[in-house]
Amino acid sequence: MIELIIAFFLTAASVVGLVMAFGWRNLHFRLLSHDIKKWQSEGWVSPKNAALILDDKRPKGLAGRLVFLVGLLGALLLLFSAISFVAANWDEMSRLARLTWLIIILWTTFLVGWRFTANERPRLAEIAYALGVGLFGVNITLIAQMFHIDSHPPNGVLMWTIGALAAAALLRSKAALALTFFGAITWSLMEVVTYDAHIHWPFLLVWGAAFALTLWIRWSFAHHLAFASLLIWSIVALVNSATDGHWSPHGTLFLFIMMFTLMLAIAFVWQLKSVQTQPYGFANWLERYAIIGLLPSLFTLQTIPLKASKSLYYMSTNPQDAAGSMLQGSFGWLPLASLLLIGAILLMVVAWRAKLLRSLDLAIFIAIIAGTLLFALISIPNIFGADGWLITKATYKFLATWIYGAAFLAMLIWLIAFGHARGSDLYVWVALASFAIEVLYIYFSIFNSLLETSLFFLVGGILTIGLAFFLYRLHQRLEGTSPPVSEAVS
Amino acid sequence: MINLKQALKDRPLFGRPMGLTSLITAIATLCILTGMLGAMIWGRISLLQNGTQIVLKTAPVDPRDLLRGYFVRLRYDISRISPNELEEPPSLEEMKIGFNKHANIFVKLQPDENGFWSPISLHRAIPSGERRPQSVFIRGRVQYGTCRHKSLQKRKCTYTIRYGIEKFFADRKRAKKLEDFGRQQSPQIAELRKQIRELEKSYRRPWQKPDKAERLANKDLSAQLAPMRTRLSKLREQNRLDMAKRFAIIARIDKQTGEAAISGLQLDGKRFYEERLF
Repeated sequence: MIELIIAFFLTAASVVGLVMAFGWRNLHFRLLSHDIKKWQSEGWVSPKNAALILDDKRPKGLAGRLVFLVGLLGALLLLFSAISFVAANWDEMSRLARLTWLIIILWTTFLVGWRFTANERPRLAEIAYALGVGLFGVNITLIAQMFHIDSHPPNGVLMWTIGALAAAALLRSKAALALTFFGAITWSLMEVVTYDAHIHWPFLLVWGAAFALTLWIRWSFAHHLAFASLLIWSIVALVNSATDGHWSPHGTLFLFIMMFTLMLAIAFVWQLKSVQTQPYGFANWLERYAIIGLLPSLFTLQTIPLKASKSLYYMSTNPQDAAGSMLQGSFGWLPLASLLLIGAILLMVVAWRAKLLRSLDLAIFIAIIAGTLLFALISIPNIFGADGWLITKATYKFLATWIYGAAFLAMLIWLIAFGHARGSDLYVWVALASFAIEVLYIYFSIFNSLLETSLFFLVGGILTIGLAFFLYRLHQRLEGTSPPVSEAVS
Repeated sequence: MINLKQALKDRPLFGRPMGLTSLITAIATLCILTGMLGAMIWGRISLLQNGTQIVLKTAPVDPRDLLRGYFVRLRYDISRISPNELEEPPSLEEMKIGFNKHANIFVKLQPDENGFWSPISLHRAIPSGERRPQSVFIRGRVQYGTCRHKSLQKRKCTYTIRYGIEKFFADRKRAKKLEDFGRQQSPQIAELRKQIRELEKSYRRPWQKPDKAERLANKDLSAQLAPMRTRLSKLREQNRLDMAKRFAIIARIDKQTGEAAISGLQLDGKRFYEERLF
């Protein structure tokens, strides 16, 4: 029964998803047609170009799409029927029969994929290959179940990842390659989280093989997958190695900030070569990842209360361990963060000398590094922190709310200008959203307990409207002064 | 008739796979994937066929129903080992450097007079040379270990070890039987649980904002409940031990690697279920 319910929901979800996708494309085409008519009347687009654009974006015929939909639905239903048949008759079937079924389903799916490839229907082939790789994982689980294997679950995920990698290499399948990256990072995280592997080096072997394949297949989206998986692995490895597995919030966040800053610096230096040839290449993506990673990290740093840093530091009960562990928990992140910091500053200076960064940009980045380092240092317990002699909780709160908050807001205003200079709407909108969140955060943290409820909302409302007006004016001003996108990129 | 030579010439093997070439690559992929699954199956089959048979006391402790199917979680007598209770306890040095969390551990087992296999000693690797005639080494992984520092000096510590045979997947009927068996409890436990539940009802939780008198009453209740809870956990452990005297699994061990695989179940000294190879 449960298998039927799951099959029903999965099938229903796929149908709804496909219908929505179909509806969205139609809606998009109608909106585009409307806009193009307007642009044509304004004389921005010639009738010939308008016809070409519309032809390119026109949804394919309903009949063809329906065939695709029904075909996909049929394939899904066939797959579910095969799995449901196995699941429903699992108890009655002998092991040999079960294994035969599993292998037949696996072979059928891949051969269907091959058929689509041969008929030059690559999208359908990719769907079949994705199903096939998924089924390979199901087979591993079911064989483990059949033989009561419960030894080391990450090994099963590794086996699946290697299978996906083999399929991606031999079939040049993008879907299998994407699943390889997914499997590799899942395997690594399982080893780290469940089995305490502080730095899971074997991940790099699998990742390296998958990345080489990415270069061979030349699929740009896979670069993002490769980068995202490596980033997740690096963050976990950095934090684990610096804090001996005992995460200290301020130090951890500082490591994050340093890592994103280094990424940003690499992106700037990378642009030295790639800008002329490939203006929207991977360096630009790297820059975007870094800035989008940097903002929440910088925001979160001010939200950690001082007392939390002490309670989360590792305190061993063994007197022999105590000194070392305290040192590890409190300062362990410093050597690594220092290396990242030096690397980031050096690369930024290189980018500045090559005139890819303005002096103001360089100064802002160095201020971010210095400010957050200072903030992370004063949170160390027993020296500066709550129990120390320099910073009291009240001083820390004042620093976090007013000084850090003000500096963060100033940095966001700079980011808006930076976004305009680069011709990036993304930076502008992310900075505007962060600006609004920061102002509301400061307002909530200061006035929540001081003002009465009605007054609190009244002031909040006025402040939000004022903020919107300020941001609108700022945006208008920058719009008026920013260079055209093409100039900014070149 | 397909002209293989011409087909390969038209569609190179390492270019975009089409037609015959893609069929060859698809079949090669399938052979690799099937081979990987085959190796997994073959490893188990050969272990079940050639491994040394042992009988381990166990109790189904935690019946569960997941998407993977029905299974019961098994806890063995050898799942928790106190080094000081072993016939050949490890040295302090051995315990200091080895047997960390998640480390591989090899437990030497030997059958007792009732035919159940019990632990004799702990090792970091299977020792070469010395071997008792009827002993085997089972490979496990340390899940938790309390043998550190002060407890290490007194050796009042335990290792919780997983051997990779802690789940028994079964069909619905058999899983239900095992579940019922695992849930059997002595009337003493049922009575004590009832008493605890009754007392807990009158406890005022912090979110219920207890006044001063209620906080005092809470303190009295806590004092009353603490020994009852300790007694309950002792009774449960005793219940598990009683169950383990009746219920056992039959496993096969690979003498070279120490890997274990479940091959059957035993109740009251009689084998009532045997795994078929295929």
